[in-house]
Amino acid sequence: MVTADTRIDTEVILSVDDLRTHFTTRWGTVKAVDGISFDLRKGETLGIVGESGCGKSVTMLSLMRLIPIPPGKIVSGSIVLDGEDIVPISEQEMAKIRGSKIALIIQDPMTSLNPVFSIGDQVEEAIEIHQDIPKRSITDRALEVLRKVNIPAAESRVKDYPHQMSGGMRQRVVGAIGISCQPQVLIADEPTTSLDVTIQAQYLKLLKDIQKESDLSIIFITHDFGIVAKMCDRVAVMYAGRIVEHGSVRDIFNNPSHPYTEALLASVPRMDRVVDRLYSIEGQPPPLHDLPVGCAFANRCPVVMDKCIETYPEIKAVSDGHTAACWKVE
Amino acid sequence: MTTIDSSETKAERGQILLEAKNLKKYFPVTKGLLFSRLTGHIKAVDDISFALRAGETLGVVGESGCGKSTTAKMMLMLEEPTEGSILFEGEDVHNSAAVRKSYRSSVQAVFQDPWSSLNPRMRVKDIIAEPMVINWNITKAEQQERVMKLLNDVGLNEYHSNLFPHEFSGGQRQRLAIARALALNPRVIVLDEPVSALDVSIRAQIMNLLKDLQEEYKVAYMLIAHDLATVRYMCTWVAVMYLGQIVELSPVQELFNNPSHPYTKALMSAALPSHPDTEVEEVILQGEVPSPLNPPSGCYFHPRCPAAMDRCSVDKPEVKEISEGHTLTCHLF
Repeated sequence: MVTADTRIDTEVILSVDDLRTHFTTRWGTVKAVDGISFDLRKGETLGIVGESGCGKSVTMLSLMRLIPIPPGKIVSGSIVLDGEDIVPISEQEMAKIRGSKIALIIQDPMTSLNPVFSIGDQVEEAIEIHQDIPKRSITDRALEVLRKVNIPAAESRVKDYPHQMSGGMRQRVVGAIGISCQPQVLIADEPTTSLDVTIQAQYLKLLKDIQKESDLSIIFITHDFGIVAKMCDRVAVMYAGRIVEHGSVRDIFNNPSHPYTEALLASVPRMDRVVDRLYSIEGQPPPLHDLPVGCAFANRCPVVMDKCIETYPEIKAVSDGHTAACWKVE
Repeated sequence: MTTIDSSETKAERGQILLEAKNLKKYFPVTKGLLFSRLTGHIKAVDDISFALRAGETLGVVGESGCGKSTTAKMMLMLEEPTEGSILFEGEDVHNSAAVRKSYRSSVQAVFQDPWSSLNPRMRVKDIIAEPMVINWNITKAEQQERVMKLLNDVGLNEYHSNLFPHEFSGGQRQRLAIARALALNPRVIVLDEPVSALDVSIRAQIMNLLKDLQEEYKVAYMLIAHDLATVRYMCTWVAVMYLGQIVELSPVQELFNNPSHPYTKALMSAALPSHPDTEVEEVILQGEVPSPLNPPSGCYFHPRCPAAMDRCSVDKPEVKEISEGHTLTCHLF
């Protein structure tokens, strides 16, 4: 699927086509990601939103080729990163790409740093593995990256251990490791959920600055529409392992075309106006090992039709660069 | 004294149920193991006053370490205040054992994480009946009848009563926690981030449920939150805390229309926008909350304040009322 948008002229850096990641469990095959396609352009930020269990994190793990095999398996589809399909390549080849071309910032800075190594060592490790530069310059490079993420007094803090830093500072170190090898794609999996609002604002601004400076493409995995509104150019809304709506951030906020997107937006309280009563989506998402034949959202959908229960809707264009998988879309 | 019927008396909306007056909580800091000596105090909560009203919600917002949780613990009598008093229906709860006992069953809590706040080895009916077993002298049949009513009130079914907590989803568990908090017909419920551990689509369900229950039972909520949009939706009053002090206290509409303290403005600017076209004034606070062990001189906020003046680092600002019910502590006013 090729989508058109404002950045059409820029190069596509990551192209995912019909990706399916399934897990074999004793309850049956869990179709955690079931046929998703999207393109990510240079310097663009894509937000992937959805509830827990909708396949956001498995998408992220598939892009990093970190799916535990078994029980998981990328059963079909391609992930073309910078002209190369990374699905069929060997683990050794992937290890070279992981961290250098595509990097990951995960949610919890308390557990993603090793408590027994100084932060300097941890930043240097990534540089040492991926860049062929002399030991002395590695230290300089690590310092440079730590300064880039605004760690105050970086020279004296490289010897600090993670427990000596606050949550915000730790998340900056994780960010520093992420960008240390100048990746082309950075995946941020809810990077700010454990941070305070003021620290979150600092961190998001920092990510934006870094992105501008190095033309980095970012995939934001989040369930927070506020982060999407602030950070993203394009949005993919996921439900039960599939992308149900995909479009520019303004398309999604101004003209949500899938009932799920609409419901999600209506269920979020707003700071800029008085909301009398929030819309609440009744029920739970279906279990991923036992998906209905029709639309997975049908049992919670306020505008469900007979057709929805019988057949899964095709992805249809709502407008240029805005698609939705819903029978309501003509 | 307390049975199902006697505690059914409902207060009028807006009536003051509970007042906290000049509450302080200092934690001593000691050095040395054998001959430990006192080296200072962490002023977790430093002279705060507020009121909780029947049928209304007071939201408490602020960054981590500002004293929100310590305040909640004092309200629940899990911490003794160093100074100050809590008046419940006009009586000081630390004075007599009788008041203390009735206070304890009148103030309940719902915590953030429904995965750790429910005992995994107890059945739902026992979890919800537990407060009644301890506080009320009623028969097993009466208890079970009430458990069923509570389950219905929070949107669950009677067949859920025989299940264990692990059989429920996050949203349903939070409903169980709410049912348990309601068991004793409390007058006040302390809600410590009740929705932040839940999924987006479930949050709205729980927030609406809490509002409906408040309407029905005229209970007062004290909501600890960090998300300002949640506060705007849920609360009647908002207290903004910074380093153990309330810097701004106001009715919710007034606070959002006319945020006055520089810290409140900064918090609002840091909050995420509701729409990509929302224009926000960029006030990004530098640095982090200073240590409460060694707070800055004068106004605690002055090292991070974008509007700091010379006197802010010397004088401590007094509490001022700028419009009805809207008070703040800042030299700008």
